[in-house]
Amino acid sequence: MLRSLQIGTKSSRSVLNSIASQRSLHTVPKIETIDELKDTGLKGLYSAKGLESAWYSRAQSYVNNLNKESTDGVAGGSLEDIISTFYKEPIKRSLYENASLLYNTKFALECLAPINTFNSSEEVALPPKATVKDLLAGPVLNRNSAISNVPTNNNLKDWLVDSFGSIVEFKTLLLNSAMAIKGDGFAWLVVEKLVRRADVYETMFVLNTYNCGQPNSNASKYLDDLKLFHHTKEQENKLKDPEAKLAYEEEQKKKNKLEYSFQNTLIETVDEAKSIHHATKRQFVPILAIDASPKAYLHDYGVFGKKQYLERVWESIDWDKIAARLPQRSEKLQL
Amino acid sequence: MKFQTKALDVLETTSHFLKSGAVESTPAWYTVVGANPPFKNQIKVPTFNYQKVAKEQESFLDTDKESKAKKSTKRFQYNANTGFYKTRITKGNSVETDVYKPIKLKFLQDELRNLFYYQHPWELADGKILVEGNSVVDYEKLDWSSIIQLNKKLDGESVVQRTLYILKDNKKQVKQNPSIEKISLEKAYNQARFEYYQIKMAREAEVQVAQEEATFSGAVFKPSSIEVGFEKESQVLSKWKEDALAETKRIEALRSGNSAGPEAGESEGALDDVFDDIPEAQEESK
Amino acid sequence: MMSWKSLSQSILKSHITSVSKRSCRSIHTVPTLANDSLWTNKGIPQLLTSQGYKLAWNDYQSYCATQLSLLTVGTDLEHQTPFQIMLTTQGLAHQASIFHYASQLHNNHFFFSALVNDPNTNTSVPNRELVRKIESTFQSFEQFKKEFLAKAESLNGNGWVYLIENADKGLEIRVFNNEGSPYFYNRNQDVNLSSPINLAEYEKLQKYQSNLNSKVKDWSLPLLGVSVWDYTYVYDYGADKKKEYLENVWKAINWDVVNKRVFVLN
Repeated sequence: MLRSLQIGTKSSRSVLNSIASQRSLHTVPKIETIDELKDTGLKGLYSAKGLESAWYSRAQSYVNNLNKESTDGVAGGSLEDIISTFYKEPIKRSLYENASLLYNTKFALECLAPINTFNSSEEVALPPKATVKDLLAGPVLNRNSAISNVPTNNNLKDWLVDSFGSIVEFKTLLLNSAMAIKGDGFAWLVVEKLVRRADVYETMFVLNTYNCGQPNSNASKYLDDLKLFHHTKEQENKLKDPEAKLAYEEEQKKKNKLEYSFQNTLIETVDEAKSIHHATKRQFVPILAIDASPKAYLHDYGVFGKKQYLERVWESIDWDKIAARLPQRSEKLQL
Repeated sequence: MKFQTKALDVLETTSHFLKSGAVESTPAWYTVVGANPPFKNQIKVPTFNYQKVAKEQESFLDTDKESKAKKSTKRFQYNANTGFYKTRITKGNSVETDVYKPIKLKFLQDELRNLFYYQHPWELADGKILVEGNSVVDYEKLDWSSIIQLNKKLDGESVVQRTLYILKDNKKQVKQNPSIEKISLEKAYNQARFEYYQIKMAREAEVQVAQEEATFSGAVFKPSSIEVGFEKESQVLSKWKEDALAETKRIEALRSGNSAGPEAGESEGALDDVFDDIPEAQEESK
Repeated sequence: MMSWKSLSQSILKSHITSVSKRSCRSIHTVPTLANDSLWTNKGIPQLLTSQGYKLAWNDYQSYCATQLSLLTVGTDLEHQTPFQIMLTTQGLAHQASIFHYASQLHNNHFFFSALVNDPNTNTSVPNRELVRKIESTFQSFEQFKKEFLAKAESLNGNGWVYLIENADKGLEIRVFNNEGSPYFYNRNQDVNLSSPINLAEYEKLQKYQSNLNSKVKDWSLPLLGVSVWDYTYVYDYGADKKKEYLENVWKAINWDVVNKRVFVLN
């Protein structure tokens, strides 16, 4: 595994060179649906200034950082390329962080559209700014009949209902999950991709990423590799001492003797259990993201307004766009 | 055994001792007990349950004969044919049976609370502080227009109080505007219950996400009780495995010792080795 | 814990978020800062507007205080101050959200209590002892400032930058993610697992874990803390102007307060 880590580094270096040859500076990415609303704001969700604060100034800072890093020409290429190349490069960390943040923020904004439930010529005003009293207000009950802006696409709707029970349960889970993020982060709807003979897309999940995290599981695999690398190094260090080596070998012998007649079915620690879980081959394909960072709502909703903000985000989700992102759903295996 | 009243005379006895000089200084509790002497009459005086009787007598006021007959009780039997009441005491109708029994206290709160905890038994596992502070929050006096309270932990009691508030509030509204739909007890309870669920779900998500977020930013925690339990369990299992293997070995050795005639001496020696290896197995077999 | 407590008693006294007692249960409220009325009217000149100040202090502090009250009412934490709650909950994963609010209350108060009322007339300077320490650790005071602000700027996401005095009374600049606290190494939160970490960082986490398991104590104390949370600067500066904000914070630091926090042998 130690070798594979090194190989990984080597291969990413070759990708790195190929990216370097492209040599392009980054600019704030264009989002057609949002850019045309730059002066008016996103109706019902952001004022013009709020949008500026939630996207343009933020994107600008990420872009600036990316360009700062790419003075040596390494960081051209698309955001996806940078993310998939540098997720295991601690030295080029800033590159990964900013690319990832830019990608996530863009992804979240691309899910949104102006609120359309009312007459389109009518202005949908932002809610009045919440105060500390709103923290003590009881919840408004979510009833299936009461929630608006539910997905219309049948494929998406069925898939959501199969994965979460009902649309209202999905909404509660997604918004609670986003609500609970305290610093920067995103709440995602993802489709699990199991790598078998053919790729299998069966179940949807809600998951969170924090700061510059990505919803796919590459990073956790990187951590597992790092852990193994650390473990091996520690073992090697230990074995340098001849006495410790003897004791270690003795222990191994004893262990092997024990394993001889029994299948090893015992999982010894929680860490082991976790790594077994990680080792399964699965990826997450992002479908929908909600930006839960204070940066996204502070300007228009204030410190207390995250709940209102998330409700408005739900109202603003463009389900047609979300449905278009879905992979082909696999037939469920009948047992 | 006769009812013991000696302890109740503590004040008199002490006064007597003080006077005679048997006790030199007045005890600290002396003035306090003097101001609030113990209650000495231990005989319970039965109270007459006026409420019960008065309720039964309501039937006297009815003008309708049939409803009068319907409301007949053991004590006040109305005879629709004759139009007379039977109030005389006869067998099976003695006055003492129930009118001197203490009044049973019935509160809607209790019923709601029992129902809630019957439906959600695990909510009882939620820790509760039993020690009271220097003043007690009267839950009834809080404003239950929201189930979230700054002075009160969110638990089954919140659901009870919120249900009562919803009923009361609805009654008030209906009085002002009769076109408003009247809320039934069941509906009010369900509303309170579902509000409770909403907050619980949000808090559960918060607990999980906060832990995950902190871990992602580099926090390190003590092992949780589940992890400690897991560790202990796997320790026991590993030990069991080791012991079981040793025991199997011993039994196998014994068996081969019995069956193999000519090499019996040799296998006996091998058996000793096995016993030396496993002190515990040795002890147990003895 | 007792010895630890006695050491940090001065901090306990000066930086606890105040607690008002109503009906015997603790309801956490926002403490009044010395310059509160001035800053409420005019904001902190050259640092925050009055609206920005309201968000960063009044609103955010009362948000955390209310959430903390709601989460702790009716539990064994209800009589404790935020600082004590931090102590109690720092190692417990299932109380991470309670720790968050308690730690944020403390950090935010620690930050705001070390700001001068008007940076234009800031005459406070680090005292000789502090300057000597800084120069012996960071070569020069300028270098220290550069390093401090650079570390703050490089923080990905929200967090805090602290100048801390470690167990040997040496100085360190540390960056903590989110609600990271300078008092407990296990809650320093100085490794961002969302980005590719290196082996040294991984080993640091391992060391934290083994130290925690063998109950090693943390003796470090904070001298100066600066907020890099969105709530503090994003409203006034925007997300891309973090650097300007940090420069302005530097001008507003009340070194008289920091001087008092430095350990001096009597």
